[in-house]
Amino acid sequence: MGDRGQALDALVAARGQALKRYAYLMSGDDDTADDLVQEALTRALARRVVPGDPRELERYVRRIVVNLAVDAGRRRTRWWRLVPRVASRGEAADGAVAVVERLSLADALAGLPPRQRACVVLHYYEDLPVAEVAELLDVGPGTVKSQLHDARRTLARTWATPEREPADLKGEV
Amino acid sequence: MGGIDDRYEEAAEAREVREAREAGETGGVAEAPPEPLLSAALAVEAGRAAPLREPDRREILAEARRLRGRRTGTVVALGALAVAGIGAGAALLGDGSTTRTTTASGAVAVASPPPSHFVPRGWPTTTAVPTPPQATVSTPPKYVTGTPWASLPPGASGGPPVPPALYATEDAASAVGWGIRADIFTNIWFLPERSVVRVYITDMARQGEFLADMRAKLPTLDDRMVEFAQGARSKTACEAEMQRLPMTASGLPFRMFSGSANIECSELTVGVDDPSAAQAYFDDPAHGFTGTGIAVRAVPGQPVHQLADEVPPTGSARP
Repeated sequence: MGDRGQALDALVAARGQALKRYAYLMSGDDDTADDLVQEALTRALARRVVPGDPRELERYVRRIVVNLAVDAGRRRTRWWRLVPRVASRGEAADGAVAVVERLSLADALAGLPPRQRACVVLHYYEDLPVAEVAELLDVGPGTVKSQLHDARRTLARTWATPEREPADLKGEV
Repeated sequence: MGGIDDRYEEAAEAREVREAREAGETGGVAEAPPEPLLSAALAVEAGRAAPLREPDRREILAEARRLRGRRTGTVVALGALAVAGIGAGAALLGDGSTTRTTTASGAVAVASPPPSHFVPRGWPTTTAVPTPPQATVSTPPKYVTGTPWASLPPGASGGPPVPPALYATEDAASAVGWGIRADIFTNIWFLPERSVVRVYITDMARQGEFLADMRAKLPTLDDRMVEFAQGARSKTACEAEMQRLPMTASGLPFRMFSGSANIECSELTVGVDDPSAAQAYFDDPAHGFTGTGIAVRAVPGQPVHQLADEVPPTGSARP
């Protein structure tokens, strides 16, 4: 276990906060991001052979983070799909309002389907080319392109980008 | 089941995307944000993340160990079940009685190392698990330890506590065996009750090399935690031989349901519907299973439908 312990310590010391930022963008929540990182570290170290190269180990951890985040996002989506059936009309989110309101980036990202969100973070934050995003998410490059396209269109509708925020908010409030 | 869920989720996701597109088309979508702006905003957003909560090092390492153990344990349990099932089948065929024919499956696992189980590539929707002995036993099975495992506290269900150094030793042996010494490596048998990892190799004269490579991986290696045993064939050769078995071939005078190798890789045991026809087939030099150094033994077996859509068990975890 010595090797694994050392690998864990080295990765957390050198790249812990980077992993946290990455997980935070994927999940949109601090506590969830901490949990994601810890779970991904656990799973990475549960491999029969842990990569000796820290960069390789980090790459593996990042891959686990994105998969966990997408899975968790899907579970949440499934839950929110049920909310209108179990909540009263007043409690349920009003889709029409969500469309016209201009949101912060965090909230706008939260409105994206899990895989679109992952594509956005991997491509625009991690700066990964489409091919690498596709490989990470185990989908085709065409799917990534279409997910990115759809995500940007959705963000264009929901996100109050810094430049247009004042004008848009003026018109809508 | 996961497959259905995935398809459902993908369909739902596609629907959401379509709905979003439709809503966008009817609602007059603004221009998408410029890419540099989005990248910069994401960087700012990422900077809002609080400092990483100190990962629970002990919990991570313990859980990782447990996960690895669970994978190994699944293979071992399936192997023990298969051995017990084959034994019960053979005994039933021998005397034709339906009385108790064997002890609890766990006892078999303790008495001898379980075989490494495998299912060949292209295996269809049934797996090769023989009927468990409980099918012919009228009384409940006895627990080997006398205490049901489920009633033990976490961490205590595997017997005596295992020193972490033993896991590290196993890791080192595994890394060396699957890596640079794959030519002589056969198997690993974990013996926590003796604090020993037994490494099966085909060339006992080279155990010094193997040990030296392990020490290179693990400088704190305690030699007393390693013992070597003679293996018949290397793991690589053994797996290649297993993959050669006609698991899915048609036109044979028998049907084959299961296959396993013993820990030394000196013998493959195959579960079939007609053991005598199968044995004759494997003993025929024309079929290429003689003179390989790995004997093939046919025993009665029967198919069991796969209930879960998980990957079938394989002989041993690859790194």
